[in-house]
Amino acid sequence: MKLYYKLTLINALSRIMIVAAFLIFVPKIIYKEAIVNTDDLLEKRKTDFIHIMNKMGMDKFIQQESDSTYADSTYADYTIFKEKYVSIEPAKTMLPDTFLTDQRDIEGDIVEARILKHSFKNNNKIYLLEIGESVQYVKDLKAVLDKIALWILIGVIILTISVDLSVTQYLLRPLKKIEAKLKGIRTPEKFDYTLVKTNTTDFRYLDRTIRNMMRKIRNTFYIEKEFIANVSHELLTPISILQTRLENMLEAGNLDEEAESKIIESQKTLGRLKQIVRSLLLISQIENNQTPKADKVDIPELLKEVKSEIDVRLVEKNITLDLELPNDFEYSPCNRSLLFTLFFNLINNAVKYNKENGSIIVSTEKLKDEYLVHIRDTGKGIAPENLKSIFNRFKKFNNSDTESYGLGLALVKTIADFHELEITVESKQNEGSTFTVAFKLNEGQV
Amino acid sequence: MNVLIVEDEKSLSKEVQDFLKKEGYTVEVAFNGKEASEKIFVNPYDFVLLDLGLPDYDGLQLLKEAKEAGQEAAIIILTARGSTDDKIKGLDLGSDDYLAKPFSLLELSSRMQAITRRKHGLKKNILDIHGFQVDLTNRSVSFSNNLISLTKKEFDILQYLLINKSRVITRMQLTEHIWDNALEVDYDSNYVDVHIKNLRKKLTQYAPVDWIETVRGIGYRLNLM
Repeated sequence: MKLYYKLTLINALSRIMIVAAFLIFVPKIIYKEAIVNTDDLLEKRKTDFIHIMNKMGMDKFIQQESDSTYADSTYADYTIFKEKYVSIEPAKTMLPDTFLTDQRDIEGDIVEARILKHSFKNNNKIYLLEIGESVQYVKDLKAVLDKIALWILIGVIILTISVDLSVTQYLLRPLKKIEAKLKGIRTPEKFDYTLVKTNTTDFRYLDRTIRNMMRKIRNTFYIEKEFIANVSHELLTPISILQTRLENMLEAGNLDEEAESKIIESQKTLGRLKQIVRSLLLISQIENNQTPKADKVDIPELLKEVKSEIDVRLVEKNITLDLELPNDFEYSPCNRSLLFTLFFNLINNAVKYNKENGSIIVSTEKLKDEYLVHIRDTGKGIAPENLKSIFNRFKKFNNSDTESYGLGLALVKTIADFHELEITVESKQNEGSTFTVAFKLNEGQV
Repeated sequence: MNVLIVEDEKSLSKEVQDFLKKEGYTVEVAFNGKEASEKIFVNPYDFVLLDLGLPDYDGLQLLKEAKEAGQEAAIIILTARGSTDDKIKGLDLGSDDYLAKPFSLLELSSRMQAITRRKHGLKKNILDIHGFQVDLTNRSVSFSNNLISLTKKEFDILQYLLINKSRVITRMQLTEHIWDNALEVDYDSNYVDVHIKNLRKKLTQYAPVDWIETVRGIGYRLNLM
């Protein structure tokens, strides 16, 4: 998940939690406050009522008592909308003052009220005074508050998320730019070294660090390439001297047979050295983009050409090499001779590491967005632990084989990278390997 | 024929000089650009073998000067730079051929012969060898008007043997010639032998080819006797 969405999500969640807490607690607090106020009011009324009762005499309120047939006559009074009431009735025991919320039936209307119960004695009789106040309005208020709070919650969340989105987007813009700089660069040369404008120190630090590291990598690459190019170049001159000197010695024709054959062996050794140096030089030239890329190549034709070059090498081990090329494909822009080398090396390896009477099949396949060339051999295969490093320079796995100097596949990889081709290998030991070269199909390439 | 070798590496210069002298050329040497520039300005040569990597001079510049001074020599560039860029530039500036170091002396001599043949306008570039007509221009071989179909490599081998006739050519020299600068050359292998075998087979259908002689342990020789 992107940091941008994460931040927004976390912010939204925290807002929702705060608003939800608000929604749950605020109505409760308001309700409680209202009750406390009501209780104070009831207490005051009680005092007032007792005061009035003492002044006017108890009989005024419970006068019917003596002539009534009912033993427990009561007194009750209420306002017209029944939001307040007072009642007195006889009781058995004295109780301390209590507040409660309860429902009362007043003339057939059920009213929810806050009630103060107060016991008192008059003429040795115990009475219970109840003063009530309807709390319907508090309940109504609570319901209204609940509703408003819900809308506020939704509103706040929508508002904050949209604000968050734009603010974090603004704040994270430098990060996005840094990300964009890193995306799609294959080599440090292609990195954009201008700094991203920002006053966020973290991003500045990140940007500078990446830039400095890229510079370091670029310099190291450069030094390595320079080194390889220079060394190879420096080696070519002494090799030239040796080669011409050996040729002159042979030309002189005054050597005995043993000396002659030794010189011929030395020429072969020198040839191998030359081959290594040339391969290294070519790799460094490709990596330094000193090789042109302007050809258009018919790949099946190229494969046929490689086959005709390789055919002579099949005789020794009686290997068959078959081409299965059902799909036409032209590739451009590319470097024809480098592509030739790529396929030559791959097929030549398939010959070199094949067994007696083995076979090689070179086939093509056209997929929706790729053109594939498979080179399948019946050779000794590659051990799974070696598969990853077969394209590394000077990696050599079969030590008994003196023909391999580990640059063939490194060169293949370099050429593939230069053309942005993908190379994959599948291999089973003692059964054979399949190398697949994938060309990306661009628009307009048929 | 007069040859000027412009090469700062003295040992290499000496080897080339020794070889060319034996081949019958008259050889002069220059070890730096300044020396070379003076010599080119004063003396007429048939060949200038020019190393591009001189300590005091850009070889390409020297090539330009030589052409401007009206030097009629054929110029063969010898370089270890090996970039196609240099090759194209050199040929553009009027050099006649280009050899990447390290090169074989035999290859150098073949190229010089080819240039000589071209310069002297040998229109009839057909050589006869024991009844076989080898057409160097059209790269074809025929025997009493029957065209013999040879592969590119087979023709290259025959032509190389022919140009360097009566001389033993090692497998290595042949390999280098026909595979040019290919990187996957197997110097220990007998691929050249396979090509020679095929070549002999094709030619024998018309006449015996004992004139293609195998020199045991070394290579091959084309016998004109």
